[in-house]
Amino acid sequence: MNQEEFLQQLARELAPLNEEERGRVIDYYREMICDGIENGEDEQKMIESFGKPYDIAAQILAESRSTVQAAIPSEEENTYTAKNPVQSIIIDARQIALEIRPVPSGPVQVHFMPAENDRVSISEQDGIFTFRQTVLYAIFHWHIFFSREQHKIVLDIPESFHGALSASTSNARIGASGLGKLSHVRLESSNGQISLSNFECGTLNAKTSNGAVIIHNLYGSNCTVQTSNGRISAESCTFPDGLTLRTCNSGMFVQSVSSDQYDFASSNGSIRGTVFGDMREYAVRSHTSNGSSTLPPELVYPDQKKSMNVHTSNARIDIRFLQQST
Amino acid sequence: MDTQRKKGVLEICVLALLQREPSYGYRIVRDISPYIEVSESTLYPILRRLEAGDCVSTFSQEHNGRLRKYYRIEPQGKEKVRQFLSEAEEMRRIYQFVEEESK
Repeated sequence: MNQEEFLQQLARELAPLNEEERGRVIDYYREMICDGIENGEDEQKMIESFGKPYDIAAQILAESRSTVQAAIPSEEENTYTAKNPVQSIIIDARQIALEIRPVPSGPVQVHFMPAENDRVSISEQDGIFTFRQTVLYAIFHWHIFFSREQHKIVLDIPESFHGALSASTSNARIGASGLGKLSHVRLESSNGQISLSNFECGTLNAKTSNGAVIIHNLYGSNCTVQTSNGRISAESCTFPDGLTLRTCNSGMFVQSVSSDQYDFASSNGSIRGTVFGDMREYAVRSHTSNGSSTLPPELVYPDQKKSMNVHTSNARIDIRFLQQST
Repeated sequence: MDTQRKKGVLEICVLALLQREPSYGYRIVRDISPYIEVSESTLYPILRRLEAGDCVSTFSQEHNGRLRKYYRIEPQGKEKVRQFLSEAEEMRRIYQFVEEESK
């Protein structure tokens, strides 16, 4: 973890504190790191010696007398608006669906109607807008489980925003469509579907479990999708530096995707579809057991910079290269 | 040493150190660690508490194009150190007693 990652994570863990208190902690650690580096210490090692951001925050939160502050809804009710310029957006939620949508202009905004057992905090620090929703006590009641499907957090991102987005939830779906151009996008859920379409981003990381991941019409440099027990469908996506799709116990379907580094893996699920490229340029490695494959197990020549790795078991591999029409 | 007691002792060590001159986070850790185990992450809550209790005050000074936060001891902090030292004689007697009885 480098300095910025460490400080960002720490700020995130300290979300229950007010802005001033959080700023003190961040300043303290930033100064520590600067002084350490000036004294010839290794940045990485030093950060490791601090301990995990979660543990540091737990200690500070335990000490702090200020209790969790419920954010004050601004302007209109149940809308939380960033007041400063935002470079990064962090949404940290539990048991609730996330919808991320574009708005032509205006500030970064979160719309959310807290239920009785929801607690919300927002913070803005060094250009990082953090919205955190926690559930005081989890109710696993079918009625509530289903009614919460209607209950969601909506994040409005103005088209002028080109920063990073990190959003996580659990037991619910994440959807994003039509956003402008973002730098890094990291989306994480569990037991929920992730569906993303029509936007551009530098790197994309989407992770869930027991849910499908559907990506459509996305552009960027690098994309990693991970799920388990859920299918993956990728269509019209271009990520030259890498397109990595992983699942297990479920199938995978790709169509009209383009990358120099394909990496598809499943187990007990088929992998099929079409990819753009000239097969001769790719170092191909593939393996399945108990299934047919349209790809050679290994066809590698020296100097090949592009690669395709496809692995599954107990299912077939049916991947075909298409020459991209210009 | 149990944590609560260690925190108390650390507070005194920080205050004692600041009696000489104001200092900053990184140097405080380096100056104290030969005597008592302290890390950057244990120091923060201690400094914060000392500041909140008016035992120390802070000021910023420029260093290499950035601001560094310095901690300066206040009368209340000096009083704490005096108190600790005045208890030392009593503590020594107690230690002696415990040692004698444990032979």
